[in-house]
Amino acid sequence: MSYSLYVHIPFCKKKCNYCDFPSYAGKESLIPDYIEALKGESGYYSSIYEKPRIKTVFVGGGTPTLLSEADILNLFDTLRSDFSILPDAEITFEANPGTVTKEKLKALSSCGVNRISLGAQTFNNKLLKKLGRIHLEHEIIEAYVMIREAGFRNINIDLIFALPGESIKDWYETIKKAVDLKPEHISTYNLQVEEGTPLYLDKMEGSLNLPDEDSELKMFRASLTYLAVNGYRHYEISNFARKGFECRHNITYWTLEDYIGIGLGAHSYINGIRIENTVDMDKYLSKVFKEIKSEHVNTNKENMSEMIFLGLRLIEGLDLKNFAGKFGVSFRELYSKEIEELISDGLLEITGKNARLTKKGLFLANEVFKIFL
Amino acid sequence: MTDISKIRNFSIIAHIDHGKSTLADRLLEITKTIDKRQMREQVLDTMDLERERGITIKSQAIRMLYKDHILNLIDTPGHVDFTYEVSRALAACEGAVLLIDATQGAEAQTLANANLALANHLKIIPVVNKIDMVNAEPKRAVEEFRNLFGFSEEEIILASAKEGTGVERILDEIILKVPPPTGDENAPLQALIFDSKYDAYRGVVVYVRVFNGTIQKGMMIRMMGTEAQFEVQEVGTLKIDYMPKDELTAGEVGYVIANIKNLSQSRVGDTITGLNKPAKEALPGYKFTKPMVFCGFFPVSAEKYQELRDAIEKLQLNDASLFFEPENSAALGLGFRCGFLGLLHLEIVQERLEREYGLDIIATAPSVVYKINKTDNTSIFIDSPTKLPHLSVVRSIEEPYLKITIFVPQKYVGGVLEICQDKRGIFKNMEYLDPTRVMLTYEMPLQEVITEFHDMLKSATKGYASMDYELIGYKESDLVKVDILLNQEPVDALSFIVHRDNAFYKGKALTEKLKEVIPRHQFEIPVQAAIGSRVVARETIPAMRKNVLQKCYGGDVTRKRKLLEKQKAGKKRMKRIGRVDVPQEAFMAVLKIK
Repeated sequence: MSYSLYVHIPFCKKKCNYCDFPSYAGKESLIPDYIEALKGESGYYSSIYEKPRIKTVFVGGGTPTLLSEADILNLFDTLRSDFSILPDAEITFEANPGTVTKEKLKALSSCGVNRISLGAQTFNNKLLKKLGRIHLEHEIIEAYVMIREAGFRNINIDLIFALPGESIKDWYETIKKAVDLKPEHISTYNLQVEEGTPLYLDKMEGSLNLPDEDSELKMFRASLTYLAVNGYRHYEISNFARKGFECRHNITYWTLEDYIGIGLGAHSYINGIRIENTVDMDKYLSKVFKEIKSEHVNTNKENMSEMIFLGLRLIEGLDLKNFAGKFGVSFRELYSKEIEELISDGLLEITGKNARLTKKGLFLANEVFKIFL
Repeated sequence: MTDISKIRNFSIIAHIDHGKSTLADRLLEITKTIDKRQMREQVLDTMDLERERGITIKSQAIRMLYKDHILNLIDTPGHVDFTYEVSRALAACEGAVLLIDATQGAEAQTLANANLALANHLKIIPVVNKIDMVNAEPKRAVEEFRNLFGFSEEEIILASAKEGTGVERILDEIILKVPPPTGDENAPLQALIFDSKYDAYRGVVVYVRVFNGTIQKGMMIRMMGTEAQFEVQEVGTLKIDYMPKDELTAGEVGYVIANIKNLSQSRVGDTITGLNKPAKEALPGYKFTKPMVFCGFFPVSAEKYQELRDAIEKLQLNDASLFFEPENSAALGLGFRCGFLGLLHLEIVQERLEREYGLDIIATAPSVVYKINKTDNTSIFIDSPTKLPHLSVVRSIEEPYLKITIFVPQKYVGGVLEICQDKRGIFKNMEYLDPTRVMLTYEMPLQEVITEFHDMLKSATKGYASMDYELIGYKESDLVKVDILLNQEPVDALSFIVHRDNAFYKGKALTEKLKEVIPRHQFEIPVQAAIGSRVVARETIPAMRKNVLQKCYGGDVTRKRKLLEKQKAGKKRMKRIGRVDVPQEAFMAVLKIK
């Protein structure tokens, strides 16, 4: 039994206009206390699961690259002593342009980090401003070059499309610029305007000017073809990679495997139990770990539906044998009527050992997922 | 034994909101029938819905003592759907207090109720109410009383029920002017049922006015209309509670409890007589009220069918005019075809099913009862467009017509005439009530009246028009059935019958409306309107092309699930027809077409 490990760093120089994740701007003074709390939580899991084996690590945020070299070394020291991180583990660290330095990259490298995920979001300066990012296009490129030069051989670039005022041409330029940098992995998400964010207020006021559904669809299609032509394999709804560089950490989510999440607002899925950490910083810093977690024991039905709707996010689809092995029933028999309808609608197909979304089904993924809730 | 010369039986009649309930409250207070502590405002309206809508649905009766006399106040329902009930309540009286609101003047139901009272030979006591209000125009109201009914100025009482002004004079005039009942307590029993209600503990309680003879505990009685027989368990008079006594004699108003199981055995208007010494004939005016408006009620989820049946049955216990029978719709599955006295009655029942019984139901668009004359010279009545026989055997179709009376300020007359014309109204008469107000009379198909007519009238007159109607019979019309096809499949529950001249327009408007209210699916959905096999209108609901939740950050699956569940919950409240999820409002959409 091995786990994936997620570590959340909820600090940013400035909060982006679309962001509703637990992250704070201007609270850098709390970082030392926070690292202490993280170490506490890491020890907490270490003792419960007896120094669990870890096959992937993902340090996300927020802006993890806000941490100083000393913080980084301190954090990984603890992780390595509390967990048994496997020698071949994939260890990802999120970086944001404008906060990356050679020194930090060197520290990361020395800690065994072997994958950097760079939050570019878009290469269009006008749109970067609109999103409230702290960097411009040239800083993305500078950060990228620095990361490469520091010796990282596995880099992801995160992109967001369907931004306010973005044209299809704008989006083409962004993916082209990303591809020109030759990263091993590219993620493309479409913008979700979440309640409580500055963008949401603009949307309510009617001043947001979001692309219509048709343009959104065209942008999604553009990513599929352009990235495919350039050698990126589409392996999950939002993710593309050169062969062998698929993100192992994210795949644990899609295949309903166990993961431990530590940090403010972090999520874990262990033994069929979903655990959610508090998003209240003061509470988290109190380090009373039993009290900051809310647990939900998934029912069998919930586990099944999650395995289906997560599994169908993968382009190769839900592994039927895996499903039967886990639940003792066949997916095809359990949902024979639904499956038949989805197939005749051209949304789903059954290949030898998988059930997967068709191309049309990809665009309508939620419509398919709902059926299995 | 009660001295018949000391009894006065009366009602208060008025247009809605002219202050009937407030006056009733004041009468009960002044006569000390109810003490202050018991006094809730508007004691007589007991159902929640009545209070909310400010109308009285079911009538009651209450006995007051004042200056050595017995005053029986018989309350009447205040809505035109219940005209028959009003007429029976009035038949139980010798007099009526007719209220006109000094701020509004006479309205359509003022006239309609007054006409009912006159038809029952009641002595009318005219009262101008709400004279305390700043915008009161008592002079104008007095003028209308004189013009409409020929009262002299001295006869008309100026009152404010709210403040108590003039209320004692009203009581005095009831004693002075309303004649005492006549009748022979030794003659065979004739008691008029003017109301009845179902009490969970006592069964049916029947409200009666005894015209002749005596009704006593232990006596065997027979309903002359329904022929049902019972043994009387208890009789008495009504305060807020039942006040049992040994007998009710000619002229009295009270209640009878006789182990009656359901309201259909004690219909309003029926005459109770004794089994041993029966009356030769029933009191006049009994009529079996037939529902005028029908619609289907279907549970949103099929497994709630039995629950829906139980709920409708329970409502029927207290509402003899509610009709229902099972209906099987190809589109909506099993449900019930229900019949109502009118649109308000329908809405009340629907609301009670949803509110009191927590049922999610789909109501189909209301239909009237059409008379179909067939080529073999027989006729049938149908209460649903789906029951229309094949056109090859239909010679002609008749539909129910109303005579409607509209009171409206003169400056809005143009708008009202236009609406009435659109609604296929036949102009009959126009009369000036005073220099600023007009009374219009039209004949109009009932189907048109139940299709947004009230709302249109309201908005065209800023709420200043009032309306009353009565059924006048059937007339032949050039009617056709329009079918709606969703995704190529006919949806029986969306069919409607309409005048041929409006069929194209209505079909087009309905398909447009359906396109608006039916959500997009993953496939394109054609929405067609057809007369027979000829498609007269078509809209297309485009396919949904994209619905992907993309970001799933840091393993937050719970959030993802919640978003999906939220989307799914929206769908659950809809009815699935074939492969199309149809929201409730689609079935009422035909009513919303102007």
